[in-house]
Amino acid sequence: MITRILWKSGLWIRCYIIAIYFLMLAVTPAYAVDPIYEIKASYIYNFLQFVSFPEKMLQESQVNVCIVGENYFGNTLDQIDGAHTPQATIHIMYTGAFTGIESLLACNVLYLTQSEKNNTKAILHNLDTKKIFTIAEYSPFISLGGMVELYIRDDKVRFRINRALAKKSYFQISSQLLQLGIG
Amino acid sequence: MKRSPLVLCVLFFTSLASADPSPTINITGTSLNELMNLKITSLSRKEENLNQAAAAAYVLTGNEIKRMGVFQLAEALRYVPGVEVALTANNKWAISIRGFNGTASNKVLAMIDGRNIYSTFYGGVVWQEQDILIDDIDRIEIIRGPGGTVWGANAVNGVINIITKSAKYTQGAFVGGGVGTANNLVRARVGGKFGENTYSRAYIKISHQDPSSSTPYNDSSQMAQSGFRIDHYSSYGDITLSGDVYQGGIGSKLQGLAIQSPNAQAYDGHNLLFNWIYNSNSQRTHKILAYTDYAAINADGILFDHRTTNNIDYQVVQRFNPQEVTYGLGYRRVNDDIPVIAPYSFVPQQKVDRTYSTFIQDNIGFRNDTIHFIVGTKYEHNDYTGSEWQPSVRGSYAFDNSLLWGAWSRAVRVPTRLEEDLYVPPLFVGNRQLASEVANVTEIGWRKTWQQGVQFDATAYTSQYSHLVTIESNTDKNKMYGHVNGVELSPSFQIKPSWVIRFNYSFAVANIGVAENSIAKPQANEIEKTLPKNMSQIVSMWDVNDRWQLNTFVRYVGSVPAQHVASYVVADASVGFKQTKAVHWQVVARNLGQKHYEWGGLEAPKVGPSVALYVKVKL
Repeated sequence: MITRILWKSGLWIRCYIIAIYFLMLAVTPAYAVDPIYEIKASYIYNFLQFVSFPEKMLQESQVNVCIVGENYFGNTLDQIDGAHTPQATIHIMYTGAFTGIESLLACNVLYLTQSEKNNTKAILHNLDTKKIFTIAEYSPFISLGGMVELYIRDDKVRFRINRALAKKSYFQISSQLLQLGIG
Repeated sequence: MKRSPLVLCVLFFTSLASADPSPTINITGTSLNELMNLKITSLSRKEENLNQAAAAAYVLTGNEIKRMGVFQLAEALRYVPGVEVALTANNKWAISIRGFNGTASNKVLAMIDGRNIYSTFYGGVVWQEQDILIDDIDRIEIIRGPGGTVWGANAVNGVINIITKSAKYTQGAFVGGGVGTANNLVRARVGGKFGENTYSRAYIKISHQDPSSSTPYNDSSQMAQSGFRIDHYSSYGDITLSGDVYQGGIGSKLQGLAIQSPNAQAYDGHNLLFNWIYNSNSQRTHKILAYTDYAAINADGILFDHRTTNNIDYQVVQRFNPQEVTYGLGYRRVNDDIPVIAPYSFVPQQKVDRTYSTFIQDNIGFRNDTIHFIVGTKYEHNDYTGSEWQPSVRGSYAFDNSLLWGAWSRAVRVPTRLEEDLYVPPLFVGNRQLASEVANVTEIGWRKTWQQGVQFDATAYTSQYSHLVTIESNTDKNKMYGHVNGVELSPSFQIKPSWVIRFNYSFAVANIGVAENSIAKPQANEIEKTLPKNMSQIVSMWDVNDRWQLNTFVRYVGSVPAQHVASYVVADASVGFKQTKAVHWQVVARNLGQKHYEWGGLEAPKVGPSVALYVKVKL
């Protein structure tokens, strides 16, 4: 009915302008989590279903997943925090930007977000990538010695696995995952 | 400015609506195979900042469609920029993109899960018989502009791709109903799981639409549809099997297929579809789509069309950085039988048409994927016009959260059974020598996303047509040509995570002419004057809190002189209320504003306000 009143009083055009002006003012930098990060969260969860660590590397049957760098996930990862892998319970830790190797000692899995691109070498050189499962959401990562690289292609999030490193690592990666991650 | 109108405006726009804050995918319940095939664009309107699509693509999500509270598919398309939707009779629709609208809008291709629903009998989609369960829709992808290179013939002005949810995401059961001043509806769905990786669902939907009071006919309509879907996920890929059966009609009491009321219709049909997507490794995806579809229409008790389509497509996506090559093969066979009451007839009455096709498209990325170059062509051989090539060249450049793209494409519309084989001597004899209608379309577009949740999407196009079909003194010929030029804009504002507002605006002008020896000048004029120059929409979706939703939709459609339709502005609004986790209510008010016609002719109803109340109970 309001539309009718507006229409009758010939205010449509003015109302449009007011609306746009009003919207410009009202726009705030708050926005929901990018669905890409929901997909990436789901990838992390899926990868962990296919990787098994030597028991002694996991404390209290817990696999510690460290998110290194700026957290673009919002609270999306809450959904996998406490979820199970065939072997253990997932525990998510946010370590913030890389400052030194000390803060990463408890990690079984490292996920490097875009903000860490310039720290890649420093991180990989100071860690044993045969013991820690490393994932980055940017390239180059595998060529620098990382395990999994997520990338976007043709409107889809895809991944590559470092097969050479997978052969040498202490954890076991199921052949299904390796096959899907050729490239 | 006086205070009162300002306050009204502010109240109105604050009362408007938004993005669902709940996750768009099931994070712990989506397999790797699914993740690898999940299109980012189909997940949300945030697509543009990463969407590489060098085309005017628009996605209506299932969530948005639910918010609209629509009874039927056709109504959901009213709020897509550049799409013309008009109610030509009670529950009969004319839907087109970039002009040439009509009860046979023969330049837009539509598909449900890849199943072609374009009728090769008359050219167009019988929208009222596509009465799928709205709750099952995952998304509708609307591509304005040609899609012939991938989808083949008749995707001249656009493609409407309706995609339903995997049965994995429709687990549990619900019953629902709707009572309205013009329609009633009951629907139910049940979902199940077999073993580890197999999911299923079945649904039924029965709807009734009261006769419109403004036409001299009894044009009430009823429809019943039921169907199922099974999805299986394994290391052999994702397999889908689905099917539907339906029966319905418009007009006075339908007794079997014998109907009396003028302009009445009865229809029934069924379909079965099999789809298999398999990643042999991360660089190669195979897809097989096979379906059979039977559709029958009884129009006025005079014309009967029985049509069986059998189709198989095989497609491979092969990636080798920085290229991605997609290629495929397809075969379609249509058997029809068109008995007609004298003096009309179709010669031959029964026919088998075969179409063989193959296509290849290469997407090459340069400079870290910021520049894309996409070239491809489809080759099709059909029984009407023989060989048809439908090439396209697209390019895009991504910078600063923007994408600039351009495309040139050629697309064709193949003549229909009606145009070739209608036989009413001496008045009219169809023309077997008709050529395909051809369009050469050039488009440019720009999309940008700003940090503050503001997006802008703009497209400009020029479509050059030749060999358009005309009706001459006693047959049809390819004697019309012309062009349509237009602009489409859609800015969108994510005001809060729970509130989105979108504006759509489109402008188009058609200029159509005929050959000197043609008598079809009035037909050309009609095409020019059936295209509304300006169309605009405002969509606001707002989650007020966890329980309440308020969605407002306003549309303006410019005048359509050929149909004696004056311009109009109307609004739709819906209020959603989650009483408990299991019980959801929705009140939908539709066509608020002045009563108006959307189409000409005696059949066209005057569209006025209606209200409906829906309830959905999860069991």
